[in-house]
Amino acid sequence: MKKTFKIIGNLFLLFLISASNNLYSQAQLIDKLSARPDGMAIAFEKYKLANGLTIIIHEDHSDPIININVTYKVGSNRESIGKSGFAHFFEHMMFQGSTNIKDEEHFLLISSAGGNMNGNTTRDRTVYFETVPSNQLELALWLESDRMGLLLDSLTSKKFENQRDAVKNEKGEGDNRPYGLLMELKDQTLYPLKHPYSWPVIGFIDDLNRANLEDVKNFFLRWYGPNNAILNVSGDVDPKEVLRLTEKYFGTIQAGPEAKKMKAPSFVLPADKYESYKDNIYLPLNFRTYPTVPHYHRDEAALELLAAMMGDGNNSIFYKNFIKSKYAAEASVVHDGSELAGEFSMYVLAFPPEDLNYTKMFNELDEKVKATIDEFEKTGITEEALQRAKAKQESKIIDLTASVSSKSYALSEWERLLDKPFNLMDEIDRYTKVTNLDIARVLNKYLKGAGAAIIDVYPKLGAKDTAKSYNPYAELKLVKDPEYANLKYNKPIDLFDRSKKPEGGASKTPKVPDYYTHNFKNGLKVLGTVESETPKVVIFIEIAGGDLVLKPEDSKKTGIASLTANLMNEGTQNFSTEKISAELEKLGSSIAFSGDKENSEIIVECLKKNMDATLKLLEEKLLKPKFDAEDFKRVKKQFKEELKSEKTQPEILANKAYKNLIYGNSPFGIFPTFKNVDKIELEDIKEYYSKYYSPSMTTISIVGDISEKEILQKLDFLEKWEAKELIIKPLITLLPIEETQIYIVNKDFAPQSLIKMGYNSLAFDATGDYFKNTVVNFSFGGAFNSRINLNLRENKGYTYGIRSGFSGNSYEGTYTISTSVKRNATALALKEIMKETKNYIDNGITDEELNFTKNSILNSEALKYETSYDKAIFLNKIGRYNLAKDFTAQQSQLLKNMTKEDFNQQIKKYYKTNLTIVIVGDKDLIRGQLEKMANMKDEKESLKIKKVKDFTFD
Amino acid sequence: MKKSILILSISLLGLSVVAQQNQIQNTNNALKSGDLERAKKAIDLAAAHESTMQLNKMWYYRGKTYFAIYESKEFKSLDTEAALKSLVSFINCLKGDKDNIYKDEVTGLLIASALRLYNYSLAAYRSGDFINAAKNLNILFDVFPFDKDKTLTRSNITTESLNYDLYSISRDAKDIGKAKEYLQKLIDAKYKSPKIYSDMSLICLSEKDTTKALNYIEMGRNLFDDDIKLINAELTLYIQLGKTDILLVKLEKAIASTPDNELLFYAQGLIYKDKKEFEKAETSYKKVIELKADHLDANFELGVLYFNKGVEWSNKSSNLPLSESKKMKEFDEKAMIDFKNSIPYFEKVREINPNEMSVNQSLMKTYRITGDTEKFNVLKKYMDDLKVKK
Repeated sequence: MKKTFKIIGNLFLLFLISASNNLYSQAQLIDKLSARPDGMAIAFEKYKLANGLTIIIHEDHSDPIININVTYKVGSNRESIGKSGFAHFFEHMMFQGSTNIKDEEHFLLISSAGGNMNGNTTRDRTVYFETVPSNQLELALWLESDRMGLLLDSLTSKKFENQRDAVKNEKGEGDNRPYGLLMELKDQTLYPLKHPYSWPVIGFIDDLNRANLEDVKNFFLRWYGPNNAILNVSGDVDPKEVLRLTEKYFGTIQAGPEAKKMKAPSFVLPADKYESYKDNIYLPLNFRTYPTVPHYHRDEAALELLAAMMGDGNNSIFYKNFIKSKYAAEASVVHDGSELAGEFSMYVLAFPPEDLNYTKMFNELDEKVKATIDEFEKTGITEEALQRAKAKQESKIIDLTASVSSKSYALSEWERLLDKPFNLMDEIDRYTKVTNLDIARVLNKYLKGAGAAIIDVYPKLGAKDTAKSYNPYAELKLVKDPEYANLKYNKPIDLFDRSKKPEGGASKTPKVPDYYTHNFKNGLKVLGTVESETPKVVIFIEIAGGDLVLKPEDSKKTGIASLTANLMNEGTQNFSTEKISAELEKLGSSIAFSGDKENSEIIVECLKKNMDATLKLLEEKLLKPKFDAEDFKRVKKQFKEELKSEKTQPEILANKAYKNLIYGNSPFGIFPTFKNVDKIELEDIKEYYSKYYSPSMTTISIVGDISEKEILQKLDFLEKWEAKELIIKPLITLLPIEETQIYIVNKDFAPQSLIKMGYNSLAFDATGDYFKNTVVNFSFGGAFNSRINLNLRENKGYTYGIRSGFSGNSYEGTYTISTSVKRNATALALKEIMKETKNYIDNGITDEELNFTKNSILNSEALKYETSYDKAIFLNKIGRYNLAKDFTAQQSQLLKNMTKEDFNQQIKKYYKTNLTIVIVGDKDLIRGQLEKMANMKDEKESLKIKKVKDFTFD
Repeated sequence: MKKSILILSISLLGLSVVAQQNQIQNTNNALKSGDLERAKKAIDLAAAHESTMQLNKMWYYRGKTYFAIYESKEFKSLDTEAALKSLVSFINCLKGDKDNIYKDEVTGLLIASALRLYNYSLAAYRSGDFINAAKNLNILFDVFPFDKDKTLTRSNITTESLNYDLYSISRDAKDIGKAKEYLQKLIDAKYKSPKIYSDMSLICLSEKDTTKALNYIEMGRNLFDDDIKLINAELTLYIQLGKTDILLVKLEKAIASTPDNELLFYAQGLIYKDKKEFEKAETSYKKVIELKADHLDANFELGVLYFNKGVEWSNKSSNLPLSESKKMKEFDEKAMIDFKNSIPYFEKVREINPNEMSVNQSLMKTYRITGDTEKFNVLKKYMDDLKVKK
């Protein structure tokens, strides 16, 4: 009897195993690549589940983090005519919950786990990704699998309408930006009608308006099957565990209909095709695009190198003919490939003509561009130029190894686009083998005598010149697309409880970079950490001071730090601008100076093998600048024209007005103006450099595979840098805010209102009230799931996004809420923000928010030090503020100890309802809304507006 | 007496000139009052009269009048050729305007009028009125010298685009002579369109001039080496002419200079197939797939090539007398190997294009022959489902 029972028992076990084998699809190993000792490979294992899901696993244990990347092979190219924007709209819907994940819960869980996440849609694919601490692998796979297998039950009309509003806001924001319609018009001009690239990824508003919930469901069923997806898991993982979990969570998801590879007919433009429009811009733009070849076509590498030779850097012919000649502020050439086609684009952002005859200017510009192509053919195809372009390209390719997410992205893209094994060295090889014969051939084949799509963007003259997005398919009578016929929703059948959220395992301790410090005799401070994961070295050099060193009587020289840095990017005593750029390009290195209100900064990047040569050039640039009069003339002109151009950029206008209204005419409230910069002379620049570029004010942060001893020897040349006595003490005055005051910067017919509101607050501190403020703000406006974003974006649909934050430096700080809202929702948005603020002050934080904040911030520590840049920023911060070595541990402890009462006290003390509000938008329409609302009995309290004032710039 | 007659006639002539000058003034007055019918009558009289017919002023007002008529909903029916007449008038005005008196005023009107005539011509073409469409488009060539701001170019109207439009019109009007003339103009101007070469070649073929047909295809191929239509046209022509050996030599040279161009190998494969040199064809197709694994046609051709080889062995086996059972077995085994060899290629085609019925049927047949019932059943179900959907 016993024996029989045992046999049956075994049979039952056997049945269970076989059932689970059937229901959990077994992954088959397809391909594998091992790491190379020189780091020039992204190792991986590739598997396929029976349902068609491709799984790629890359192991990297250098940081306790992982990146999950799910690529669906569907982008706007799969959309039906008249239903543009659907792929991207659908991406939004994928964040609205699924059967076992509540609305907004995806963001909440990933944030609480300390991770970050997002999605993006291009013409050819849609990607969803999470980067999380490695103990959260199962959580991330659970979340991704739930929306892949079980999205449909949770879709509602309400969510659909909310996201439709969010997408429309996103489109509105994009169109409202300077040159916002350029790409849309370029695509319409370049591609034949109905070509899958002829409409914008974000779609047309009227197409979005005619979408319905049924479309969402069909889109999911047609394209979101596992057989049309690539799951990539990279980072601190055990491949066996990844396989076990992917089989568990994804194995039972049913395959969708097969998706064939997209094909689009190739096309040529037999002649130049012109289009133009008027925009709210200052600098006219000529944008010329030739149709070329898709990604990984045999001519793609040559075209990319050709673009770099023609228009990238100070040695290019575009620099010489347009920038050096003071004709344009920017001029560049780029090749951009997609899955079905490629684009070779040249653009010139010209200075406005003195006679304001733009038509004449564009005609001349057109001829100049064509002549430049001819000139390049005769003089530009040199071995040296090709080698420089190759070195830059190699450096870019090596950057693919910078982080788990970039590696994950590279592996997924190779898998999506290529039907053969391909990796880092193959990517480098395809550029290495390009010769100048290839360059000449592709120039002749794709550019010479070929037609291009040319878009001229004119500055608008009258207020009513505003261009609008045009949908050529708006009147089209839609027919049912057979792609979406007879689709069936097959839910996965599981042997486990999918509704149970996986618990994360024990978290690993974040790897806070260990670092060394060294002080030079001249006061220069060095911080460094050894990073052996990448062959690149990153050096941040920060010289404290910026414009703050100016005495009050010199305040009209505001902008001099930036102008000096711009000139430092030019020639030196021994090298012309072109020559030193060429030397850097040959090495694949870069040295970039910049300056702002508080600091001057130099960022150096190079391969370790080229470090000595790069540092020689740094020495030349930093210690032997030429300050050439011709260079100065050009750089100053560019700077002045950029200032004029800023007047058309709502974000910059809002920021300048906002800071000026808080700080008045003290250093943090003033900005460079055209008039004042015009008065800065070369002698001022020389004086600024000799007085304020001082090692005693400088911190260098170094990250790379190089020891302290070695690097200090290499930096020895900095000992000769002479120190100057300097103390920075800016005089800060504040304009009082007694009541909320609204200022409008007028922008006629602007469809969006850009809002910046807040007040002066604390300067930076690492462990005091400033730090605590950044913590308490997290659930109010510091995260996607924060109160104001959930209310204004997800519930009301007024905006594409809203954030609040405390920001500070050594001298001052502000609390600011920023957003861009639909014009007709301006007053309503303000009302909601004020209501939320008051509620936060009166009622404080909830228990859920408290936990969410603590978990998110504490767990996110693991993600902070992954890349060389992350590490350099960390070191720079320590150097800038003289922070204790264990300041991050102190912060964590502080946060752990903070009680709900501590949070609420902080909120009551530092959140205010009297704010300075700046709105950049259509004055007449906004004023009407605000006045109407202020007069409504119920709203008076929440808005508390004394009066609305205009703000104009001098 | 004679003298007085002469004086009289001179004075009458003077009166007549004045009268015609008045017609121009009348036109201006009528235009101002919006009476286009009266304006037309007046300007037509001025245009017909010797004394005013050459005056720039007359051309100016005539252009303005007909432009207004074309633009007006109410008066449009007064003259169906209003757009053309207006443009011709402005051109004539500027041609005679040596002192640039009318230049500033007329140039804008000339361009506006040209743009309208262009649209009008395209509408005429679409409605099948080829004669008027061609006549109007031809006038537009005269506008370019006056278009200093390149407004027409920036509106995408160029000499080449007009020649292309005129070629399309001639082609649709079946005027082969004119079609060739315009195509030749485009070829001379190096107009970057592969179609003009394949179209010209087709015309030559229809005229039984294979040499020229081949020349044009070669010219096109030199400029557009990736254009699949030109490649196919070239192949077809060489095959028709029985000159595949020449083409093979050309392809070999091209392959030597661009050994990573899969299209050249594909063309090579097709020629070998045509020449029934299947082993060479097989090598070429395999090279295509090595360079571009998802090349649908090469995968299909390889699948077919193996499948046909299998059929051949199978037929050979069937034709043997029953007594030769050993050979029969050997042939059957060879057939089976070839059938199996075809499967991965058909499967690849299916992966790229799952709904290609002919491939699915071939693949189903191969599964059946090779005894892979599992895959046969899956595919059969898929095909049955497809039928239900349709």
